Amino acid sequence: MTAPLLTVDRLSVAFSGVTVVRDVSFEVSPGECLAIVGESGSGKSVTARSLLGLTGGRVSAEGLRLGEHDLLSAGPKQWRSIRGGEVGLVLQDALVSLDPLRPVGREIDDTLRLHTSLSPAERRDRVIEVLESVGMPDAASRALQRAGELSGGLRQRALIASAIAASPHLIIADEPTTALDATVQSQVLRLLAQLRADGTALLLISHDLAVVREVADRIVVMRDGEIVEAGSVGEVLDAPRHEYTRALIRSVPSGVPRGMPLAASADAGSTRNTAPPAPSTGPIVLEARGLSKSFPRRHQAPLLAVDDVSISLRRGSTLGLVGESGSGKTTVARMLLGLVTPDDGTVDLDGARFSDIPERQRRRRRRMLGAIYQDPLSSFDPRHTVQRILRDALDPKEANAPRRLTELLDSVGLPSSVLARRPLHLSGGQRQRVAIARALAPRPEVLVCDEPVSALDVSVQAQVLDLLDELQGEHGLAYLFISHDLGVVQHMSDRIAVMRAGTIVEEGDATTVFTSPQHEYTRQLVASTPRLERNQRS
Amino acid sequence: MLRWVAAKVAGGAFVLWAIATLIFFGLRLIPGDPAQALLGGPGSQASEEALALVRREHGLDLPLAEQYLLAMGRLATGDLGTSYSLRQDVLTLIGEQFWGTLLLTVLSLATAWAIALLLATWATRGSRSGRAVASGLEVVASAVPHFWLASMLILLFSSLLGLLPPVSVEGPSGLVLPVLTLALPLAGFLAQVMRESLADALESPFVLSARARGESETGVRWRHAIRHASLPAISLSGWAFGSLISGAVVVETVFARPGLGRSLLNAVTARDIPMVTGIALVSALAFVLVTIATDAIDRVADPRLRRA
Repeated sequence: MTAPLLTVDRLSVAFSGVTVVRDVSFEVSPGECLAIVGESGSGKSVTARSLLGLTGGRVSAEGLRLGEHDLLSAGPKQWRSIRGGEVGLVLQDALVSLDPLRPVGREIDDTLRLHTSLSPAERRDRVIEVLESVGMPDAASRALQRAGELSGGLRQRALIASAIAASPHLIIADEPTTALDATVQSQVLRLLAQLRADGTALLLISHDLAVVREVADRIVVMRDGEIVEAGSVGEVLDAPRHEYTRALIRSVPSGVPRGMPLAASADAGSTRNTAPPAPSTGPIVLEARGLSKSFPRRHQAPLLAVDDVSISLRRGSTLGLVGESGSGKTTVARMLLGLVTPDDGTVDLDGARFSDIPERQRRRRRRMLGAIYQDPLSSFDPRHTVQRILRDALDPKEANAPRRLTELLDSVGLPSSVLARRPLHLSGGQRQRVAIARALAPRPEVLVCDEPVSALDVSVQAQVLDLLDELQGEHGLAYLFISHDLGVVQHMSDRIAVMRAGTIVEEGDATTVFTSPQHEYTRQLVASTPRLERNQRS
Repeated sequence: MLRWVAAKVAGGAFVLWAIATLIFFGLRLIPGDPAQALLGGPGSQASEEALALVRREHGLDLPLAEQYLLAMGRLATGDLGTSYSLRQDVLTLIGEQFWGTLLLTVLSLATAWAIALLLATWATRGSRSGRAVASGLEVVASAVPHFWLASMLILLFSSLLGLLPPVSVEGPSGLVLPVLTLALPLAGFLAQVMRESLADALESPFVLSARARGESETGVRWRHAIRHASLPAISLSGWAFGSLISGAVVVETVFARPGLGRSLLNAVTARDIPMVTGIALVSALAFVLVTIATDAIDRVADPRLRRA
């Protein structure tokens, strides 16, 4: 084993007296990838930023060494030469992590200007070389474009290029693929793996165990600012010793059979099905035939967002809708909900026409359709209390029955004490529960769930998915479950429809679609999804 | 780009026409006889014959619609008419006053920007108490009225310290107090807008990326944050210029400085319709041009606007 490049010995970070990282120790060697996993608030990002001197808090440690540098005694000038020169940082979502007003080439040029003695002309050539090394096609002209003008995958490459331009020995990648589609994510992961193979040390911060399994050599699991478990990928993921690690792994839905509870609080080893699998038997409650929608664009032909899409939802079962961003999933959902008028095609709700009718006739039947979105916070009026939010959604006849409110909260597992609170003061999981309670308030038949767990930590995600399963069994709800996360969709769905560029390329039984995908695109999608293989559910 | 310019010019022309129309009918609504004003104002003892002659000469006896069309036709050819009170060509009169006011307002705008940038930077960088002082200054500055500020500045710099002349004289020293009077309240306002967007920009992930690249605090501000912070202030500068023109009325009067503002005040008092119309139109033209310019600067500073 080579000498470690980075040594962190009993690192603690405190913000105005509150310790958020406590006694964290680890090492990273050249050409090695160490992953720090944990949920939000676990202190993993703060730990990473303390290696750049950018926490803004009080950092203390027994030892903090990077190669020749003693980071504990580094002054501002030394820090500036370390940042970018010795350590590169890659953040999530290049759309906001690169300056949206400047061409990406300028951002890469900045790194070179700060850490090399190249002339401006030499730097210009080097920028293009670096962009080419991260697989940017047509690098010379891309360098002049801004992050907003590049696709998600290309701008993430540009962000990585700006971090590696001065050939740092260590790269810190903080959720580098979280905002990306599956196929783009696998390209970016391959790029990071290649950098590691070239001898760069990689510190990967992630909440996604499947991504970690794919790239990392060793894992550190953090919770509430402390390391709960550390070891090789095989040790930690296949034979976790700590209860928290086990719960974390159990929460990952990919590969868990439909109906089996995920959350740690559920009985361990229970095979109780929370939802009776009753696919293709229940009556059809929502049916769409030949839906099409195009949106006008400036100076271009209209964008055909949805092209001849037909789907049907059956009582008590779930149709999963997967596809990458821009494939038209959300537009389909909006047409089903009667929020967007289709150019072509029809929607029938409970056997009666729901599209092409005046809003006045539609309104009283809207209660049959509920919707849950990715970010509940922005779908609530922040000034309303939970009580007001739920009461507004109730049938006017029931609006003054306090029993109904507690009943709703009960069904989503919230105490009645949240009634007086405002969404901003709830946790992410609680907010999504309130959103579900609101969707359930008018006793709907169909719930459209558009990325309902994408913004949640994996353990909270597990609880919400379990809840949705339970409610479906209880009320016989039909779900349209939209997600870019194939693992989640597979776990939740009876049938799956795969969308690409506005059309459904494949539809079928959930297991069949995943085990023997017919369409080339589905195969590519399944192949590019990182998997957390588990021998057994512990 | 060409289409954008064409659209802006057409929009500007529409605004000018609308303003000219508003002024034309607005001035007719004021009680009193324009012919009387022509013959020396309300106090004059002009005979009925003289009034009738003046009315015929100026077309004031024609139907209103005809008067309007004639007036618009004259304006379209750039003929602003003759001042009632000064008996001179309005365009020439305005030409004499215009540059002084333009210099005053442009200098004030530039000064306001400089002070606002300093205040905003101070308010986001300094110590906790420094920040509190900076934000307090912003609020106070944006709240003081021009006439009070002008008096206080004269009291401080002329009467007490004797550094600067209390009235506007030729040369740079005469400009300092008028410019400060106009610039300070605007600076307070712009600084509040900038401070907020500067704080937002400094918290954003791309600034973290820049710092992690080894960029210094100054580099972060000048290469990234200031540009983001300036966007809303640039958009507001068109409006700010308009407010400076109206502020010039007060400032030019207080400092006895020749200019459009003071001429406007005199013209209104004398019911000098062609003069009022002319000054209003020239101010509106300046406002339209400045708005187009700020829109253009906005598009340079924020390339995302060019695609929209």
